[in-house]
Amino acid sequence: MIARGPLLAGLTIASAVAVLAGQEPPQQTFRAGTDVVMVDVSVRDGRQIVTGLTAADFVLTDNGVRQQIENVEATSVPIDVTLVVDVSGNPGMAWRTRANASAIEASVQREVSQVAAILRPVDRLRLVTIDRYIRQVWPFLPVNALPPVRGLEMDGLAATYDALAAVLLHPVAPARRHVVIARTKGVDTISAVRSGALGAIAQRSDARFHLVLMEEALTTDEEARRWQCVQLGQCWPTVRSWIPHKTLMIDSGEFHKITTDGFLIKAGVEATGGAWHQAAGLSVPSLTGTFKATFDDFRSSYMLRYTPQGVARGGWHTIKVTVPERRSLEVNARRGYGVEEVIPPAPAPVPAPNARLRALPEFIAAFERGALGQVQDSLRRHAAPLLLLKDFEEEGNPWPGSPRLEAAFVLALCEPLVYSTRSADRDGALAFLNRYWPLVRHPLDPDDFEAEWAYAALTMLQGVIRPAMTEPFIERVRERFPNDPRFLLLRAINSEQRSLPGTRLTIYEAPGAPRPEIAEVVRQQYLEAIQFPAIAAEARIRLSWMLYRAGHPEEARSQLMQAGASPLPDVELRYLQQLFLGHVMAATGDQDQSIAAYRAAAAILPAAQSPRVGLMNALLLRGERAEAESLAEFIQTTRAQSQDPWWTYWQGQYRMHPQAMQRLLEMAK
Amino acid sequence: MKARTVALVCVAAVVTTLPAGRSRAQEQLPTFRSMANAVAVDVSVRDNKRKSVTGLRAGDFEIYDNGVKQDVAEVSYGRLPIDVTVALDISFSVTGILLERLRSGVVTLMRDLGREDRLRLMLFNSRVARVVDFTTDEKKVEAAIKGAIAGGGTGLFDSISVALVSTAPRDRRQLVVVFTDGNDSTSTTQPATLTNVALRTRAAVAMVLPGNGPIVVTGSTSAQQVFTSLKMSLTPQPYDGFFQSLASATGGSVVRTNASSDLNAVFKQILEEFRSAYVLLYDVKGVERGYHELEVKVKRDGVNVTARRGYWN
Repeated sequence: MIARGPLLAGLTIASAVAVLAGQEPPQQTFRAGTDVVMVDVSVRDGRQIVTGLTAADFVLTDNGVRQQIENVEATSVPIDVTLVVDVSGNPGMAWRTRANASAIEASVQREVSQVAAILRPVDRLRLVTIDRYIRQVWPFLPVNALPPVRGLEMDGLAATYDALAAVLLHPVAPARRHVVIARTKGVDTISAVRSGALGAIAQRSDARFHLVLMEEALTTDEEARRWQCVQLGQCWPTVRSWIPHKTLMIDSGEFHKITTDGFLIKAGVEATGGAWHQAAGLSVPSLTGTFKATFDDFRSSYMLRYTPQGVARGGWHTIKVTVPERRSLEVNARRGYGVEEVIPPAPAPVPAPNARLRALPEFIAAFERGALGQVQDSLRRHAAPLLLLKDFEEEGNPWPGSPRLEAAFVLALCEPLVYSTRSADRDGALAFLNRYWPLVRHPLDPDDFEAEWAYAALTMLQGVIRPAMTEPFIERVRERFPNDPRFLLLRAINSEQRSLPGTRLTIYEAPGAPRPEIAEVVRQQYLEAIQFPAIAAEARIRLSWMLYRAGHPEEARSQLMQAGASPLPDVELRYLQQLFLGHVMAATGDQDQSIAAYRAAAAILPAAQSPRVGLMNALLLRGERAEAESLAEFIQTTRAQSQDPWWTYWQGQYRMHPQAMQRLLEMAK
Repeated sequence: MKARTVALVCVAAVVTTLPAGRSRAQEQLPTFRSMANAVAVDVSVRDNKRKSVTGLRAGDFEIYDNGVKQDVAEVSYGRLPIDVTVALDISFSVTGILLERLRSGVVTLMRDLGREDRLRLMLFNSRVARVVDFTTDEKKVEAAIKGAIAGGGTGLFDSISVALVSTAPRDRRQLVVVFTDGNDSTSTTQPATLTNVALRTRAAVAMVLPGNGPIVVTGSTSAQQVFTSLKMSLTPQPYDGFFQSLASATGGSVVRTNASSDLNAVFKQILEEFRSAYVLLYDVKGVERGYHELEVKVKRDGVNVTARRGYWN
């Protein structure tokens, strides 16, 4: 997760990402601009779950200060379940024998299926195993899409604490709840994380954490070892040559008392609102049994939301939830949350409107003021934009209440990097975009802001003319927005960029002619785009140029005529249509029409060079030397510096990037 | 051209009289007799060691215009003044040290010009701009190159075309020297069109390009740079054949350079080869209007003859 700066509260604070992604989510409402705390609460009357409570029934204190509960919801929030299964050191038998992998996999498969059967379609399940390495067998997946359990690594040393810490640190998707159910022998041999740290991590985790101890396996293990040692004189497992050092959560004696390590971890577990599950009398906890009870709790639990008032923002917050009118009820909620203490940086001096910006705070201040041009110009001239990006990533969102502004700023920061000639800059920016992209996604359904952000990002990437680099991003966006024609046009242009040889842009004849197999793909994609009126004209004009390059000037002319059949409001498209018509008419031998088209293009953009050069050549070849010489003189002496859209033709929709950024800023406001 | 009586077309033109008030040196310029359909052709004659062969007279040449033998009326050697147009590629790929070497090369070229010769400077990336018109002022040219900021795409073909079509005095020989990396990204002029333009204009085109020869890396450099140079050198340029053909069609040349090339010497060589050429004048007879293919022969053994391949009338 990208560092969220002031919102790195862990626990259940609605992050900036949630606000970013869900301005108007259909199921939940997240407050923008301030920290919102969400607390899961389950209420039981003996063994009976109590339902039907409202906000007025609860009293919630944060560090002893009573808080206003803004909202209570029940059952609607989807759940992410992480199952953690300890398969280290032969989980099924004593460790002196080799593990039976297929039997263990079958056993894990059974348990997974049982858990999956309880979950709802909106819930997701993730499977993680503990061994020498922590292995995520699969990420969060809907229950109807779970692959079979295969290829588990097992029978090694136990990285139990590391695995649990990694699982608990996993960021929770906005608007979902996370429950971790881990089953372990409680033995750890090689972790870097110590028990105290694991307890502290649990306390600050967003997940509700349940730990199930495999006492039977531990006992079997221990008895086998003793028997070997006493009866056979072999004080190490028969197939191992040594016994590793280990720490234990419960001791290996008859009563499995909790060790000091265990107490530290147990405190963390209970702080999450979860529980430590050990045998009690004849009742031995199982993974599925524990999950079933937990899920019942979850399914019928309440989610209380409040905005902390009257308490210091940073530091540890102890939460207490009660139902005062019915004191006999058992209320189970997490016991607190931590908020990273943030000392706000001194405000950056406001840079002068035309000053060249250098440090990140200056860029932030200028961007906040709406000086996009100044930010972009300074970034393009910055000596080390990658360092700026790294600073930004480390320091987190400068506008915690405006994640959309942050999202727009991210694109401005990345632009000079993706256009850099240094591969390290490009790679750094792309890796960052890959990490950041999911944060802009609406958690439930794609929304307008995500579409605009994706469009701005893709128009930026297309201008680099590295189609292989851009393609995965386009495909990802097309999956999210299959009905948005803009992405169809972006895809067709990207494919056409692939027809250009290497990184060299050669335009004409053999070096530049598209390869037939690519040309056909491009043609089909443009034809698909032509079906959408909003982009049909540009698709036709681009298709015509591809046809011309491929040696089909007659077809190109037909497409150009159709593109110009209706008025083109976009001046650049009007210009390109006439310029291409000039070339195409010349190729079909119609000199008069070619000259007329060049003149029309020059009239549309008087300072553009290309139609004047085309006209100069055409006039000279027709024998009108005087006018050709006059044009040559004009071309080389004019001081007009306006951009010629032909020069940026191969950068595709990059021409739309400035407008896309402006729209994004408007939406961010 | 409508009337053959003014058919100077794309080759060096006839000068019948000189304007009044010129300097003494100018008064010594050769004059050609007035002819109805005069054509002037630059011809370079070199021996096997590429040394210029001098002392030839009209009778030593045979010239065929569309296969019809013509009578050479007059011959001039190294006496007509020269206008050199230098077109420098200042696109993204030409920066830093290279730009500095170019500045030095062009200034050296200026110093080698004759008293009546002039230089015009054009800089191009996507846009082509004449920054100094024909001049003999070396400082003006030097300052213009120093002030150049590299960047942008490359409109190579457009720039050559503009340079060729630009008005040039008809009483002077025209040479266009193009320094470029050989890539084109933004031109609207196609190679075929450029060839047609070259055949309808007068100048000889000399191209200075990155070479295909063995790599010589000078100074301290990283392995990465060596690799890049090597790759660049071994990769055939997409328009290699075209540049050769354009140069030959105009009676010009293609010179390849590498990282260690002395650009001063390169520019000097181009100028010397152009200067040491004969200008043959003939009154074209027995051929129709349109494209004229030229063939020039010298009645001597062991010499190489270079001339433009043809012209349009």
